[in-house]
Amino acid sequence: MAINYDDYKGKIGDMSPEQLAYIQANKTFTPDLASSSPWASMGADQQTADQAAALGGLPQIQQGALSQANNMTAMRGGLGGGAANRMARASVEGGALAGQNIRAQGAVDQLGAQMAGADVTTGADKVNAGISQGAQAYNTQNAIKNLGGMNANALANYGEKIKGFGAGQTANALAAAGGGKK
Amino acid sequence: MGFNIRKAVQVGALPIAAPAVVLNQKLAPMAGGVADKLLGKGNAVTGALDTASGYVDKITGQKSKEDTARDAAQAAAVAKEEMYKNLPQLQDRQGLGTLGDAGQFKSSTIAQSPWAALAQKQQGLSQGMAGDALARSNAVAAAQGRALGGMQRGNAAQGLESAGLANQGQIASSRLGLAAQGGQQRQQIAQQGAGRGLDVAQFNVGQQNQAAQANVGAQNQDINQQNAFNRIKFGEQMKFKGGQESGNALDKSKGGKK
Repeated sequence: MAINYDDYKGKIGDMSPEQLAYIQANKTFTPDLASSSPWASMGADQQTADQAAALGGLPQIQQGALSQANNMTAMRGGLGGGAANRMARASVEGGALAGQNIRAQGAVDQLGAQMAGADVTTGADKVNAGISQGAQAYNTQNAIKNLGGMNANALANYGEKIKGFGAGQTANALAAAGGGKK
Repeated sequence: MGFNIRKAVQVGALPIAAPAVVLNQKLAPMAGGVADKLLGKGNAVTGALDTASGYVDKITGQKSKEDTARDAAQAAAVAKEEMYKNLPQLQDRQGLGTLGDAGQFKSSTIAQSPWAALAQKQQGLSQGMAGDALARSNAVAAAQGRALGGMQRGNAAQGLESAGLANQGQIASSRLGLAAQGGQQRQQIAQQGAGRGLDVAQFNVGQQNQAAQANVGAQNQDINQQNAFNRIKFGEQMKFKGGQESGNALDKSKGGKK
């Protein structure tokens, strides 16, 4: 540090140069965490789409089956009015049952996908928790280092000042003694 | 009463260079040192007057040896005070506790997985579906049996009853099997769920232990640093005291002068 000697009008030993203020090293680190894995919800989304497709195609399949049955019975002379009605009703009931089955199986599959997603999420949570804890530890270590630096700085400053003070006293004593003049 | 000379002398203006001595002329004629006696100061015999810096003989204008020594001691005390005014001070070390929250290692833990709950729900649904499918297949089998009996036209009522009973027995047996299978599946799910729960718990405990260990390490380090700080501070103080004692010794020896 440069000393402006013009500031010291008194005895030379009274000079008290000051160390520059300690610069705090207090920057903190904020980690980027992995967002929830897309795999966690992908299975469930896929299942939803599959189920919708299956349900969407069901009337066509049902209608096809009914037509085929009608054709077969027609080849054998055809159905009476009552039998045709019963067959049509059975087809509708069968369709409803198939739809119900698809939905029930869909719910099972949906849960299966959620289970797989839960495992993926747990894995991701672990990684993120490790990253968060690591970052927190890193910041804490830096805060402790900064504190240590402040203390070391204060101690060094004190040591230097004491040296300066002693030198000043010596200088004043020499000046008071007249520098050896008789 | 007395003299107000003390007010005219600046104590800090050392070394003392011929302080302005102002005498109270009105009291001066009180010969015989009456005023001095009353004050307990001054020299009644010589008529020396009390001043802030000592006694000045009215006749010779010179200080006595005692006065000179007293002035010197006073000047030394003031000089010492002046000297120590600028004595560097070391502030107390800032310990880990001053950081508060920022000095604490913390653990990041994770929530328990909902896997087991989902699996149990799935198993319940699957078992329900299997039950429904069983009922349907048995109903179909019974219907087929009735249709077959109708076509053969030889099946008496007793035969139908036997077929119905067999069908019921098959349903009951299948349902029992289904329930047993469901129980096994739920047990497997519980085991797998417990494994997952244990895994999460172990992970969390590991995280907590890691943070706790780091805190203990930091606290020990803080204590070590405080001890080092105390040692250095003591060393500096001893250096200073050593210098001070050397100075005192030199002063007492009058710098070697005889």
